[in-house]
Amino acid sequence: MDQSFVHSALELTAPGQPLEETLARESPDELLALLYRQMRALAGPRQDLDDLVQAAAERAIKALERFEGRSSLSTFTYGIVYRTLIDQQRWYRRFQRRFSLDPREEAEELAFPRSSETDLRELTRARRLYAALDQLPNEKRAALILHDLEGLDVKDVAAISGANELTVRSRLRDAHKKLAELLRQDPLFDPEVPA
Amino acid sequence: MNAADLARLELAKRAFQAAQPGAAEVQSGVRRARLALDRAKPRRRWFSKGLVFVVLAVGSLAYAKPQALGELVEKVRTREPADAGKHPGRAPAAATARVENEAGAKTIAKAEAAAAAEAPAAAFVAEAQREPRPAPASGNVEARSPNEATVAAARAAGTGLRPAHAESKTSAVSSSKALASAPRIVVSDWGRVGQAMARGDDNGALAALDGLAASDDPRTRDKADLGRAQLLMAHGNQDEACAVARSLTHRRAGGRIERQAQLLLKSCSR
Repeated sequence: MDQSFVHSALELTAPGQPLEETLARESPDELLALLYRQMRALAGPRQDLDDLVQAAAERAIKALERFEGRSSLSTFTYGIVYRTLIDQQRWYRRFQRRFSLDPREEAEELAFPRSSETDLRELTRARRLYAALDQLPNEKRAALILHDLEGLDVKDVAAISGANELTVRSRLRDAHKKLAELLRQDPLFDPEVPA
Repeated sequence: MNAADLARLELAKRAFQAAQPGAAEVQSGVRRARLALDRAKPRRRWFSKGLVFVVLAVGSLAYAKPQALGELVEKVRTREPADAGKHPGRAPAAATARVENEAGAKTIAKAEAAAAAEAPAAAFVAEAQREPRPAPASGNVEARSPNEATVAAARAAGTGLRPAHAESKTSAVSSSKALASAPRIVVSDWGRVGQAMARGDDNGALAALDGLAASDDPRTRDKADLGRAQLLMAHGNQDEACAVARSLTHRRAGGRIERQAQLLLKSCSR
């Protein structure tokens, strides 16, 4: 993830002015952008991404009053994004027990943003990667994304997910094992094949 | 994880980075989120909150005391004539006030009892319907002489049926004048009971209560039976009174009526 964006958000705070006030009054867009990027990283490209970002933004604006600066703003907002996503997934599981969506609605292709700079092969790989990640349990999936793909420390992952560091390590171990099994079956992730 | 798995994970990282959103996508996402956040959510108005509160209050009242709503409506309906005949409604209170003074009370009580019989106040009737206590068990109705009976009947009308404004110490004379000028009001069944009690006509009161005891409304029936039981007990007709009180407890009249019946039954067992 582009950590410079987070840093720029943190630098917005003028001396003697609370961070949450600065973010809420002067740079709500920066906060929203931060939340969008984090949610996009954790949840992947999905149709209800905007809903998730909106829910996370509502929570974040309310929770900014409680931000004491003990962790970085990025970790703080990641925690909100994580909890929003986990809550939504729990709700969706309960929803699926009672209702079934029309398959036509789910069959829509999730398009990644295309640009001339990105390689189509990488995008196909990313699509397969998200498909593999979707098969992991939510907590393990989040731990793997935050630690291995976003490059956060185990300590930060533990703070974000509200779990013990040992628990996070255990989740990471299991997630690695499961993801490796899934990627082994995919020829796109064969390291012998030239990129 | 072996080296091949680590290499796969590296490939996954590269793919993940490649799929990260660009600035344009983030900006459009932020715009959509801001629009959604700016949209005011429809708040629940105070009216709907109040409506919910009223419905809940009325519903719980109807559940806890099913007859209360009917009584409330009837009270409101009977209050209008009571307001029209405001002064006649004070007749029992005046009677009570005067009867308290034993010296020379008999003639006044007679006059006021007659006035009460002439113009039964609607408020008085409503109170009688709410809590019929035709005669206290202390035996006030058991009078030996006709004069004493009149006094006792007046006291029973004042204390036993207890109108809401019984505490007011209005002068008996002004009450009588007011009674004389009051418009005549249609007497209800409970009003007939009150009239008979005021006259000291216990048999008449019992007959009126018998009529009420045959009512379709279980609450009215229970009240009438309780009144009968108390009246019979006051007359010393203990067996019949106990039978009526027992039937009240057997049929689970509930609430204050059942408690009164149980009190009567205590004196039965003695």
